[in-house]
Amino acid sequence: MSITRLLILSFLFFAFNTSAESLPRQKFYFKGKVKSDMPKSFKISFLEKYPMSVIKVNDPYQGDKEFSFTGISLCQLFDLFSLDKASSLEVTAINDYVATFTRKECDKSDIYFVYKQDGKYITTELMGPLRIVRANLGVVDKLKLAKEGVYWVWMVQTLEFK
Amino acid sequence: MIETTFSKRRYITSIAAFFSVFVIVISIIYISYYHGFKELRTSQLKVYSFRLYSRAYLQAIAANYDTLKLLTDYRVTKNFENAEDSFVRLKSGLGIFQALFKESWKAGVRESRIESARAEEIIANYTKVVAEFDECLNGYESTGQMDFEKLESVERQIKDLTRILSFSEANYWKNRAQDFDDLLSRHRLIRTIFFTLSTLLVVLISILGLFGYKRIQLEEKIESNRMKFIAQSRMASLGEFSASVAHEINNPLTVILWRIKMLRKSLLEIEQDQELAKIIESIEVQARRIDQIIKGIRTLSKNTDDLDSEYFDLKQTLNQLHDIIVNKSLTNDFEFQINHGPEDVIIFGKPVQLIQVVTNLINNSIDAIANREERWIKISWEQDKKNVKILVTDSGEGIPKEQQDRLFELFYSTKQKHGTGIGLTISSQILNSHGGKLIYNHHSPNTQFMIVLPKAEMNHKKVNYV
Repeated sequence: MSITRLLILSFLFFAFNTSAESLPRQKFYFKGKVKSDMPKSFKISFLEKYPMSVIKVNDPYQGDKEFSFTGISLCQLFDLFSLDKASSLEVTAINDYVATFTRKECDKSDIYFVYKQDGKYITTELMGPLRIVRANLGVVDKLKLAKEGVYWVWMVQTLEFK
Repeated sequence: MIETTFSKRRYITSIAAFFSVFVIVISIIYISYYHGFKELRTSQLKVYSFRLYSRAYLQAIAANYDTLKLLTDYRVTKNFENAEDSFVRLKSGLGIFQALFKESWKAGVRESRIESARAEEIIANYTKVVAEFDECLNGYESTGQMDFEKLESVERQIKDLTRILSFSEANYWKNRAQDFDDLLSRHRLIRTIFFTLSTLLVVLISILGLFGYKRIQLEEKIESNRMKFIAQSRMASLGEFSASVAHEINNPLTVILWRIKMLRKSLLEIEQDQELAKIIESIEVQARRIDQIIKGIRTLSKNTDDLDSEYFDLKQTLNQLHDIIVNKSLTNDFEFQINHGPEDVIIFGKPVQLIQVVTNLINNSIDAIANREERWIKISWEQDKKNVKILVTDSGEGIPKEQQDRLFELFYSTKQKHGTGIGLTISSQILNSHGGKLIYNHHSPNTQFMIVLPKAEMNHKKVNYV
């Protein structure tokens, strides 16, 4: 097999794989004190226009294994999408679960809104397509997870700045 | 020997007690760990796990109802977004169900594994419905036509799935009643262990406190004994010094007595002067009195432990005592009397020690009657076949009943200031070593101590005694 042929096959393989990963159907909604140029709803690809962070997190919901997540920090979220006067963010999941975060403590909380895990869109089986994780926690104790898990919102649907 | 056996027994008892406490504590720790703390963690994980199960069922049921509602909306509006939202909601139900079950398996509880078989079946059905729904949407996106027959089938399957979820949730809830009861039992066990441990702790602290108190008492007693021992040592030194002085006086006194004898003989040969003879006799009487006092001091200050036992005549020994005490009676102004029994009594032992015992009793009597109007001390004895009883009686009215039981205790004294509490104890020990005993006679109207001593065997009578 010639090198040229091998390169073509490799290219086709990667091209096929990339196209195989379809964009999640889910839609997300902005509400409240959002910048005027922001859409009311968006698909996950919307976030990819912005600079994203890649963080390593031991996911307690996936056997404490370390994964590489791509997403946006809470502080960035406030800076990019909300009006300056917005002081908090109310996150609502698809099942109506609600968690509130404040702008004041965004830099201390290490909270990230992630949509890719190891470079791939997060599926609903993995609590995606948009979920919240906290970095720099290490492995979370099983029994402490009950309380810690309150902030790890799954299947985020609505972001309301207040 | 007896003391060694006692110490050994006490040592074994201490080790046995320590070992018993050790075994009890280890058992409690073992039970606490395996049936308490370890099971407590399992129980906590169970509660955590059960909480996840309930949430998984209820979230999936809610997602399914939302899905069905959105599908109904789609049927009415024919707006594809409704169908897409319906699909997203169905998929979210599956996602939450899967994620929560994964999380509960992580807790590692046995019930989670049992439940997982049922969950796997539900997930398989769920995945099948989601796939069919996805096919419907993909079909619409590629052809522009919705396959309503297939969508109806999806709708039916979602309804069936919701019923299974509801039934499973109800069944699961019922099964947890037993688990909850087990948790209560465990809680009761933990509570029992806690109270047992607390009680044991209180008992141990009490014992420790008691030991601490006893130790303080013993330390105080040791210190007191040390001080008394120092005082006794000083008294012993003083006794030795007195003996030494008595010895030094005795030599010139012997010369004086001998010279008086010579002087009287010479004077009587020269002239018969009655007045002079009276003076010399008076000098001789006083010198002999000094001699008796010196002998008394030497007798009392002797270290008697090293002496050998011997056969001695009681009457002679008490007469020696008379010479010592009679001077005291003059100084302290009391009547002193020895009433000898009709027959001689021979005793085997140390006469000096007997004198020490009687002297000690007399000294006690002198102190006791010092402030009384009537002051007398009498010594008498009586005998039976085996024993002789020497009675030392004074004019006192007896010792109060509450003090009688403690009379022979070491360091217990009825004298408020000058008593050491040693005299009667030592006296009692001396008599015990002679095979006798010292008794306080509470039947006597006056204060009376009774010395009981065994008489010597008759075949020893022929031996020369002192």
